[in-house]
Amino acid sequence: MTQRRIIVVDDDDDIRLLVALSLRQIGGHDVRTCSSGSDALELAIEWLPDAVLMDVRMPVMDGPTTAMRLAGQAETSTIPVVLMTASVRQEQRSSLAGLGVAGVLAKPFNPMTLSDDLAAMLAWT
Amino acid sequence: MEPTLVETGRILRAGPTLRIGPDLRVWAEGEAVPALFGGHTCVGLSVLTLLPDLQDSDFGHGRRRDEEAAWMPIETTAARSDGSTFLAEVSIEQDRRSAAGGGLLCHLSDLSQLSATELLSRRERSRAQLILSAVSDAIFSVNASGRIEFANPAACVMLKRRRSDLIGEPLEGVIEHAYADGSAFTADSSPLALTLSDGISRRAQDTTVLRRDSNRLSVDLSCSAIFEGGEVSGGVVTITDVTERLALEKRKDEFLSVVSHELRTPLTSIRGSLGMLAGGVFGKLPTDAAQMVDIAMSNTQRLSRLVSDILDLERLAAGRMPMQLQTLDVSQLVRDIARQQGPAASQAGVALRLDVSSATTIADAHHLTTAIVNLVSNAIKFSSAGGSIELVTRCDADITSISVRDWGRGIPLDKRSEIFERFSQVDVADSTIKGGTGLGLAIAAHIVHALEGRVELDSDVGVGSTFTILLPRAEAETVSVS
Repeated sequence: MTQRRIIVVDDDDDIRLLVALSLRQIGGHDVRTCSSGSDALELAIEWLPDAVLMDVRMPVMDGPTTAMRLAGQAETSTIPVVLMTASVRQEQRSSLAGLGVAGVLAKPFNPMTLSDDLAAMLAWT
Repeated sequence: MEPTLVETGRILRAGPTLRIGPDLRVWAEGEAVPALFGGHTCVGLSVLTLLPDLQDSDFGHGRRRDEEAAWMPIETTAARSDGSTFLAEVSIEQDRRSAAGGGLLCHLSDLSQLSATELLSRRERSRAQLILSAVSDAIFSVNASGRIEFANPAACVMLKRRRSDLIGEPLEGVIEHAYADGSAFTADSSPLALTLSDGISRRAQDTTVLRRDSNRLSVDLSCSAIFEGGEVSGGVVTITDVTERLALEKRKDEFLSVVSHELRTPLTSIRGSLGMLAGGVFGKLPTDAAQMVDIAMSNTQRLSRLVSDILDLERLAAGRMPMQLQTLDVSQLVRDIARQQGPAASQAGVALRLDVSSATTIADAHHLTTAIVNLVSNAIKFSSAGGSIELVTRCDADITSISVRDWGRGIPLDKRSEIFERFSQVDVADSTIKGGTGLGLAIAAHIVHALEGRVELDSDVGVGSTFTILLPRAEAETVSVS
């Protein structure tokens, strides 16, 4: 699998670490992390990653809002966003999928298949 | 505070009425009053002396009532100054002409001349009125063309309208009964119009009515026809304010969503860490350590399933799980489920057999799949290695059925009714040994119920069990407008 540049955004330190570890160790990707939507917006402009993997529920600026802002700024508008949600609700997941994001990942996720799941969602080869 | 003479005269001319002040003393009386009280005037006396069985609260209560509220007549004893008494009916109402407020009008009628039968029928009528005015739901009666003939006090309060603005008006026109989003019912879907035309009772949940202040109120509305001589002569409409219930449901929903998130966030970290350890990302684990990690992993998965199941069940039980209904090919659905459950079955050493014939129903694919999967995984759990499970679909004129049959230990008769309850297991040890959440069957039953079907259980101890989901083959005719 080609190495990709991925930004992981989650306000939970443990999950941020886990996701990053999984994507680095198993997927072999280049990963940077941040803990808020506003940091993600800055980092995305500066680093221009191949994808942003982001928690839905974050304080101040949540995942969907950050995704919309990313889509709204010219430099980052083409970066695919995958949202992670702990919501079990079918309709909530469908409404997230309707936001125009590249995909929705359910928490808890399997760290061993996370890179593959992400690649499948983004049609990476 | 004293009323003017002119005013007093106008009010009291009509009949045996006492005008009383906030101190409950009689300010003025109608011409007919002295005759009732042995030729003596009542002016200046306390109404509590004249009507000794009544208390302050009988009047105080009345004063607090909404101006549109009915003033229920009270049957009580009236005392004359010579010590003799007579049975009287007393209706108390607010004196709107009293400039300073707080005054009351007290209308008396002498019941002592009535026969026992007449008294009885008066009491029956007054009891019925009392009930209608005590209920907190709005109750209307309408004639055959839907015009309001009666509205109880709660109806006036709910719609913020005077009774006189309601009587004779078409009910549908006044309340503008509509869906939750305010869009109006059509002539074909208006519950009241339909009930008046076919006589069938209807209930419309989560709808709205219009108040005089132009706000829409969330209500449940039910209507029933009144029959006279075999014909629908009118109807009774009951409206319940559900604002509070909806607010509570919303808060419960938010609470569940927070709980879901708060529980799943730590689970995500635990599951993730264990997953990477077990996956050998940090080197191969010693056999014992690997086993421990596996135990921790499978229990984390169970916990996370439990969280989803509890939340699902909560919403299903409350009837708040959105269903996306579509025509489904049940045989195809069952084939997919068999393929998907294949690994779990072979892991348990159980053979999965299919006997499907073409069958269709109208259901939500995701939820129906969950229901069937729960039955299948239940069957796998209770089959011994080397056993088998059969999935059967059938279709007759009206019913589509999906059966899951196992040759496991069967369910004793006394457990059959409770097996669909939450956290119910035939054996208390089952949740530990079989690893189920105890919610699978409850969820399946709730889903099928929400799809207007039912689950039947046929079981013999030592022989096996068959769970059968029965669903309407085509969309059943429904009178529900919700």
